[in-house]
Amino acid sequence: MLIKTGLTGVTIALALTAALALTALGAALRLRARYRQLTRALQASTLRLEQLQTAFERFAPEDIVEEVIRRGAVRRHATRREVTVLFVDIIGFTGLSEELAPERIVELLNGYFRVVSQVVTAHRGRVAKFIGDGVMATFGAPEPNPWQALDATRAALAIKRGLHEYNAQLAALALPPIEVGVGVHKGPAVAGVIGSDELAEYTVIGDTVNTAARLEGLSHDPPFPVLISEAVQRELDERFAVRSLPAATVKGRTAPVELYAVDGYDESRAHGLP
Amino acid sequence: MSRSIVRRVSDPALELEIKQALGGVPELPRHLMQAPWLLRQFMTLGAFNPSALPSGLADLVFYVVSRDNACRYCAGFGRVLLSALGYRERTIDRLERELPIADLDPKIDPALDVARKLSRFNPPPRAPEFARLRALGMDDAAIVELVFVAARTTHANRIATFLDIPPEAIAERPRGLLFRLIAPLIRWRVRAQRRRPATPPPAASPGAYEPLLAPLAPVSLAQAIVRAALARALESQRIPRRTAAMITAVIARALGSPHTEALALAEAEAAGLAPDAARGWLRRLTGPEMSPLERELIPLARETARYQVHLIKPRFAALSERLDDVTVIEAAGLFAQANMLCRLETLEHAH
Repeated sequence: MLIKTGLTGVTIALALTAALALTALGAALRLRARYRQLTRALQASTLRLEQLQTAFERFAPEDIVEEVIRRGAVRRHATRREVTVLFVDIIGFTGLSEELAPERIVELLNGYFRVVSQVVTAHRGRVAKFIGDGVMATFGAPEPNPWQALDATRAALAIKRGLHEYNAQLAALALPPIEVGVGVHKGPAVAGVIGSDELAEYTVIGDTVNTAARLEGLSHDPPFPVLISEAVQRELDERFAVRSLPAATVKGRTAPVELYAVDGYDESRAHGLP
Repeated sequence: MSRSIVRRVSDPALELEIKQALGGVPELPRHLMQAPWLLRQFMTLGAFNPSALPSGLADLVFYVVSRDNACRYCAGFGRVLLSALGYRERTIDRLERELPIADLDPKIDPALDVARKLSRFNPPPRAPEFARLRALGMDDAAIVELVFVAARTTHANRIATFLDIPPEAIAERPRGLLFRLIAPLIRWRVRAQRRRPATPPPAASPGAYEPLLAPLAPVSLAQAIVRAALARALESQRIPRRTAAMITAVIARALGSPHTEALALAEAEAAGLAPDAARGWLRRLTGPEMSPLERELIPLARETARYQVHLIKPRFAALSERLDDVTVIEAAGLFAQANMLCRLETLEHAH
């Protein structure tokens, strides 16, 4: 009897121990599952943050993005540097916008902005801003670029080519073709983060920007060539087909601006090939 | 596992040489065996162990510069190394997010800022940044070592990234129980490796670049090592000396390093390129005197100064379709060397 009672006690104790062990194991497994769940959530958040950072970097230079991440804000600081500014604008856009339905205008503009942005980026430039139907791009800021005038001029010609192809797509969509004016100027400018506490942007300002915009305005006369200033022309070489145009007076400048039209680019000209 | 754009080859003699120098045969040097001068340059640079830098700072510099250059191979390697050396994951994460880790040592954060500036070079560190390090108690030797380690890291980062070297297997695995078990072994091997006194390399001529080495004088071993590393590049079989010089000149111009540019032009002239032609190449990145190889490499050189990994890798992959492995490896090495030289030039503002 005593032995039987003792055995029952041992059995109960073993059962209790096993139950406790199972409960502890269950808790440990749940804890582990929770830990893994939290780790996955953390990884997903990190990935999301990295995606946000990548997206943000399309709007601001990398060092500015890093500063925002590190400090939670960005100092409004600027530097004076040599930049080349390229302006593009759709010729006759006002008339076009009156003829087309708003959604058709947006469709047309989105494709146009995509072409210009891709070309600018491929030529080491940076789209600084969209101004209505115009685009301002900078070469040499935020990263220095000793070949900025060459890059900007090649970008200008590539934009023309890109939009020629885009016009074929527009025709298929029963949309009218677009023609753009392009102006390029090089000179000193102030580059940096400018704005208020609520809204700030990385941009370049100064007479160089204004002159590039004026050159673009002058390119609206047929046959709509890429117009460059003397400062840009001085840096080009025999690969570029450049012709001199009569100097023009532009708003904000007392002296006339020497004007040049760029008609094309041929890499083989540098190698002495026919 | 991803594959490099160049083939791995087997060469028992070179493998033994690597094993003797590094204690093993990691993926990066293994992929350089087709270009023995670059392999030896890489090992020569790696032979220097800093002694004036605060303890462990060199490892942190290697990691932050590799992260900054988005070098998957080196950053993975660096993270394993830091973990094995006992750095907590939290500290490594803070390094990645560029947060201060000053609780370790007040000199570390300013030194890492200089390392990041050396990596990004927009703008590079100048006298005020070096003066700040000096004010925190770093002497000339420590500053030379800091710049040397950061410059050496940009060299390794570029080679690994351009050639798309697959990460070491250990860097890809989670650091679990197995890693904790082998970490002491890694730590022991790394420390044993570092205790070995570095043998000064034999005297060598770095061509026209000797004046760039003058600011390295406070650490004569580093100076001798860079001199020997530069001399190795002159052994290149596939890329002529004038091409190598003009690659350096283009990268120096892209980074705004006037002294390196001037010396590279002198080197090009010594190799037979007329000064007018050299200046024309620099201005236009092309010229009628260029060989087909130079037309490939000179314009590409500028892209290696500031790059985004997802843009530069396809450029090298395309290059490897047109050129043989040895030429591609040597080109990656010369691009890396030129970028390293521009970083070393910043020491002219340090003393």
